[in-house]
Amino acid sequence: MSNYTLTHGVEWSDVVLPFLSLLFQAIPFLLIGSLLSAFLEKTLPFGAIPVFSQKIGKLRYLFFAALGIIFPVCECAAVPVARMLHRNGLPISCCIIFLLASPTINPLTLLSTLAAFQNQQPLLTTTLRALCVFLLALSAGTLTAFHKHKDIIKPLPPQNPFQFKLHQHPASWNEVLTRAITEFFDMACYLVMGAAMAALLTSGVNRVLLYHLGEFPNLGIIVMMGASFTLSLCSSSDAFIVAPLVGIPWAAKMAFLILGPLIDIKLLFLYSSFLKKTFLLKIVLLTAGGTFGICYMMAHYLFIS
Amino acid sequence: MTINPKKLFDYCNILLLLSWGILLLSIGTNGPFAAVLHPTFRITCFLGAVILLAIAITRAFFPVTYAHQTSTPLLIIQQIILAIPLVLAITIRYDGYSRAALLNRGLACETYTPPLPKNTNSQIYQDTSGVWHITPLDAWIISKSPPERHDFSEAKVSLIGQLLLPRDDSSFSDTRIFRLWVNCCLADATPVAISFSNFDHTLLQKVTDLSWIQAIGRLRFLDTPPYSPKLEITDLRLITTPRESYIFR
Repeated sequence: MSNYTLTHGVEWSDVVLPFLSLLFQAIPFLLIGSLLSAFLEKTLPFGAIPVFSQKIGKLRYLFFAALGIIFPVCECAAVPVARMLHRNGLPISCCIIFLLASPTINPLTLLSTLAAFQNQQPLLTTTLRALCVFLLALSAGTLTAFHKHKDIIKPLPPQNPFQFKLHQHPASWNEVLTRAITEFFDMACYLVMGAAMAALLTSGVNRVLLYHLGEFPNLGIIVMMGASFTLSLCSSSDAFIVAPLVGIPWAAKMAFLILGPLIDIKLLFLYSSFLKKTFLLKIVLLTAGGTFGICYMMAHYLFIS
Repeated sequence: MTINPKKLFDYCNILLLLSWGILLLSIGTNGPFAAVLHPTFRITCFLGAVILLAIAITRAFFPVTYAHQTSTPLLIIQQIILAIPLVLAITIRYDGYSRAALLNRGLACETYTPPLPKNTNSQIYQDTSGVWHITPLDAWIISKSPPERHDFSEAKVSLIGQLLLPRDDSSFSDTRIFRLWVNCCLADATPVAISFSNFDHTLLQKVTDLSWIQAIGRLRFLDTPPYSPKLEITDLRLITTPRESYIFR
């Protein structure tokens, strides 16, 4: 029974190794995201994004959910881009939809899911993953309609240490670079804290127990949701981790695939850089509850083992 | 001589960018820190390193013209937070996890099958003396395929890995050789282990827990699911830590 204890203990080096590993994996993407957002801010005419979003009407939800196809960003890189979109006047609902959907609905993630699930309904798995994430992102975007703007977004610091104003367009390429660095440093701090927390949980919790509990049909969905939340894996490679797990029901694997890129420990810290805690908690409850509901129905009506 | 705190803050920022750039460059060019990441992510690290170094050099030679209002405590905390991983990166050991962490990650045994990739490593080969050079991960993958299981049953194999000794002297069947299999980064590293079906007590005098070994012996499989592989040891020797201590697949 010692296989099924909650933990076998943990040592300092056991936490540091995955911490650095998660960090080194995510930092380049965060940097690229920061540069991309500063570059877009400079090159796109000021106000063009909100005007465009108004022009396409209701289609904007679909457009921003699928924007990851044009800009294949993982979840770490999506955060600075979403922050930039919001600074440039895009409705917060669209920012949230982009933030949640783009890490999954992009070619890299979809192709890796297709490859990882080669012998386990690859097309159905990939399509349902994208569709479910889209629905959940759309629901989270809709959630903003029931909140005042000040209850969703954190106010910008009253006195920015750098003299440019974040609501203004960067005037020069020098300022683009400065803005990218500021954004990168700001986000990287949240990433460091998130990676540390994720590393502590991934190393300290007994995975054999998790995988064992994951074999139970309904409990498995919750357990795999918990696993994806704590592991904080990159959306481009998470399918390769969950696909080979023997004994875990398909619906529970879907729960892992759907929830991971939407919410995990690392992302909680990154999101909290601009979203208010209460609203963030509602997003967590909505996406987690939604994932469970969808996967529960998959388990009971799709009959895929 | 007085130091302008705003200038000092700028220099610290450049130093941070430079240090992070060098660190990522080391990973991107397969340097000493590369072991923590799957090779597929080394290209992004290299790209990130080039960008960071370019920014740091640009900032060093062409200082920004804007001035800071003040060097707030928050910004100092920010710099400290970003410096912590750099310090940890150069001070910790990269050769693996403790025994407790390995057990948390789940060792393969008769009751637990590890998650496995679909195909064996294409690098497995048979040397001139007829010994197959495989990894513990390959042995587990072979165990899942009936034809391969048949072919490799009783085959003479050589495995390189770390030794996991039993907790007490009475249960030598719990002695295992394992390697950490990494799919993405070290956060998902899974220890894939094979039990020994025999173990020479005298060997305990020259090996310690988690030491790197080369084990040569005959590969066997259980007759019932999950057909776990077992190794009947004929020779066991201590080796130095290999450069690629993790299996990246």
